[in-house]
Amino acid sequence: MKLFLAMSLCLALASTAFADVFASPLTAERSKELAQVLSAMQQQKYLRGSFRQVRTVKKINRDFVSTGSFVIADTLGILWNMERPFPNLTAITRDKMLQKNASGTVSKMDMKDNVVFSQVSQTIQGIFLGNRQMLEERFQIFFEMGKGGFWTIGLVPKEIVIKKQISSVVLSGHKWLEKVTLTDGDGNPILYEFSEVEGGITLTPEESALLR
Amino acid sequence: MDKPEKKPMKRWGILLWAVLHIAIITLGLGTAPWKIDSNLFSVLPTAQSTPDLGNADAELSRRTMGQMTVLIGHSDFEKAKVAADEFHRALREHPQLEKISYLVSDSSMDQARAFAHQYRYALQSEAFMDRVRNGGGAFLKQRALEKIYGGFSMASLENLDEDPFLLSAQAFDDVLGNLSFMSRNVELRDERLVLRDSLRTYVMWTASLAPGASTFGESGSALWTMEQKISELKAADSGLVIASTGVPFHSYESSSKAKMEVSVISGVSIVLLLLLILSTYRSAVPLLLTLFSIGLAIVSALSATWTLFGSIHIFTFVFGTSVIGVSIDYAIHFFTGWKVREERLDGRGVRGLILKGLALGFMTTELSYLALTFAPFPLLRQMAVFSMAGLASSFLTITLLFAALPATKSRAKAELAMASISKVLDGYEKFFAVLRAKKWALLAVVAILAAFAAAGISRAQWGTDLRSLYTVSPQRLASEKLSMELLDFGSSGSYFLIKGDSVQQVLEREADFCKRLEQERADGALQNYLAISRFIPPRSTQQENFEALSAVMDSSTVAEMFKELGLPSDSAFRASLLTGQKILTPESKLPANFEKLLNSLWIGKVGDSYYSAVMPLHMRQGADLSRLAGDGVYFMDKINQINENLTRLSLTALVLVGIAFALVFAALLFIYGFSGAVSIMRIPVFASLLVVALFGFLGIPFNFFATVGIILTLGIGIDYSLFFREGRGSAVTVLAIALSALTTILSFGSLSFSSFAPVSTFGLSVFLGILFNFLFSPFAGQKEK
Repeated sequence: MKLFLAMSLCLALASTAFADVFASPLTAERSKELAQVLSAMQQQKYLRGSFRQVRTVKKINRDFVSTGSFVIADTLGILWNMERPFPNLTAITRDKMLQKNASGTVSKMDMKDNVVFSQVSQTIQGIFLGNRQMLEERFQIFFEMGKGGFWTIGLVPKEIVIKKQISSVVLSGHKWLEKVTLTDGDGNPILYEFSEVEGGITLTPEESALLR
Repeated sequence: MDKPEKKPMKRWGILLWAVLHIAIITLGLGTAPWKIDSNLFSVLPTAQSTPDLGNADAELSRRTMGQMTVLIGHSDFEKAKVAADEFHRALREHPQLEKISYLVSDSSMDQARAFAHQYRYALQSEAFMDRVRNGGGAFLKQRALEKIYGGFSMASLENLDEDPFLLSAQAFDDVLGNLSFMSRNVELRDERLVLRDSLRTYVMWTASLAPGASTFGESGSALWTMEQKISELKAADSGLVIASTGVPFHSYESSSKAKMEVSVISGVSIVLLLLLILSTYRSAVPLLLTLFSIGLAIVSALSATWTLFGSIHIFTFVFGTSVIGVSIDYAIHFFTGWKVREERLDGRGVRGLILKGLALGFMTTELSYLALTFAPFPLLRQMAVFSMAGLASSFLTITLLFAALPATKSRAKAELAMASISKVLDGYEKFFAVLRAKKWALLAVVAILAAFAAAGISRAQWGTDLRSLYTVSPQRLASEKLSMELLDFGSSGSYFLIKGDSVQQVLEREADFCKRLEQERADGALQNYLAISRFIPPRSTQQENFEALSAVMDSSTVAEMFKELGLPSDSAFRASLLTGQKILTPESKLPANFEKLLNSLWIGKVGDSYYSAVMPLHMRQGADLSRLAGDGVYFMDKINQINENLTRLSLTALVLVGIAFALVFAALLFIYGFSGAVSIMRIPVFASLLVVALFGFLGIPFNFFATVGIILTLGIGIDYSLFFREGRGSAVTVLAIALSALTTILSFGSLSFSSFAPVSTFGLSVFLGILFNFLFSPFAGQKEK
């Protein structure tokens, strides 16, 4: 019953474009395809690209849009360099979250001191880094392989506490991860669109320092 | 003409004996249900010398002492989960358990968020408020926009109309989310809290033992059920590893062991004593009457203890087995006179012969115990009351009840014993003759003994270290070790108590103190700390926060923010601002998770003051935070403070017994004159010095429990000297002394085999003391001419 309710909620909240993926639970056959997709996601040690983030608040019918660049480093974490509407840099690593604003002020949150944040942060990193073990542990996985190698992964958190923060996630892509729709605990979607993604890159000293 | 005069006295004696025993036993029966305390930690004195502070600390201990954590691990998480579910099902309804925590409530996050929203003005960190004061409305707006537009921000935007500056999310992140509610290693998996090591995933189950719940090993108790279930689960799957931690597990293990030891030690002592009595008197009458006397002494001792203390500690039982050995002495003195003497005296006649020695011995022993009742240590007081009541019962039974016995028909000649005694006495006499004849021999003996005592005493290791007294079983130790490694709570065992005249003064003092802790944290002395003022700031701080935030949220800042957010009206925000000044207090309704934390940190009113606790976590090795104690802030290093108190207590107890002995000496002075009093007193005093010396040579620390043994040695040992002197060293008297010394040595000697270091140290100390007292007792009197 709980599963049914969670599913119903996720399906209702997910955009219609992704609704179908939640009708496709992961089967043994599809599991191999998923493994290939995740393996391809993880093939590149570092990925760099541009993002467009759209945060929708249904209650006030408002989209908050931000853009910038990102770096995904498989074992280190994620750099999120927002350029518009104002500069703001976020670095999420295994043990901390660091934020630097336009005036250069840096704030740091230690994962070890914040259990809830640590859980959410690890989950987000697992999603963006395509960590299969973490995804299987923490989510019910749905998967659909479309024509031309386009794939969609649906994730519903198993944990109630995580579900209060992230009720569902849909990832889609072709060669790389191209789009992530994360629906928050209030049912508001956050859409991440990636473009100009390139692999085979190296980190700048500043990026390395931020992710350390 | 004599007989008609004696009968009424006999009757009055029996009546007095009966009335006194009925009274004490009735009082004891009235205390039903009879409570037995098996809590391992309740035997310890409080860590603080100030009564109120000690009571506050005891209240904190009471709340946290019942907490238990069980970690059920397997390399396959699903198997660990199934086993943990089964464990939870077996225990969840147990009446002796409360605050069981297993599945993570789906409402916990909602409650925390609602709480953060309700008190969003009050719950802002000092660092954030400093930045608000410096940066004003611009900072507040910028911080909110970062949460809205920034990467991976999961701040809820549902209440933007009421909370456009996202103060709720700020409070949640900065204050509430930043508290270590649990181990930082804990993760969530399938609605359960889990911990991992390289081999297994462990599912966590926590609960508290309900107040008054038993930690005994009786069938059906919560701890027994837990142990049974754990054994059952392990038997069903050998891959399961189950670790547990918490004081109740230690109390359960030690009380089960103590229960077994009480049975074995008492059993073996009694059997040996019975054999000794039977072989000496060759009659069932002295045996049965001695058993009756012991049984009644124990019932009286229990009744007195329950009446005065409300409960009896399991350790009092263990120490109390010594009452058997002491009370039997009186019976032996009586029956040796009754059964072995050639004159075949009746009870009254025997009493006439032994009463002076018996009464003096009784008085000195009771005085020693009485001195202990002034010691500020409940266990010691309990032991003293238990022993005093038991001995008094024995004394009355011998002198009032047994005195009514007619003369025995058949005399026990005890020829072998008497012959041996005579040989030994002759040996002593020859030795005395040498000492009397040759002064140099006397000086040499005294010099050798004094040198031996001085050398041993100089080697003695004084002081008490609790850590060396409690030996945990290898299984419990392994379980604790694994639990600690997994949980990594970071608690060092030391903490601070904050005292104030009011709730607000405590919170204010604590908040000021936390600023100093923050400085220490920045310097790396500790990684974190738990303090109630971190989520219930003082009223003054809450009001200042509200005023500062209201001031920077001026109309232009609010208008700009609402424009940025695209919100048409700020009416909801304005309305919420009017009701925003909610003051949070320790009495406010808190989310369930915080309630648990509050319970461990907020002590509340004790005496005329209020108290809270602050727990430093993950302290750097060697970091000393005791210097942070100051006005109303007390550093609690419990183990070391208890050790210091026990050492101080040893000295206090010795001083008290010293005073008691001064009184005894005064009484003996009156009866025997100076040289007589000295010749009696020197025996127990010298015997005690030799015990200390032997402990020194054997490398056994002379701790608090050895000191208690010495106190008893002084109290009991003097009896032999008194009996010897009063009996004028006659063979019958010496037989009685030998038998009573043997019985006492047996009962205390058996205690020295206890696995509890405090009990074995105590037993060894008394055993050696009594042995020396017995061997030296001929020095107190002269052989019958």
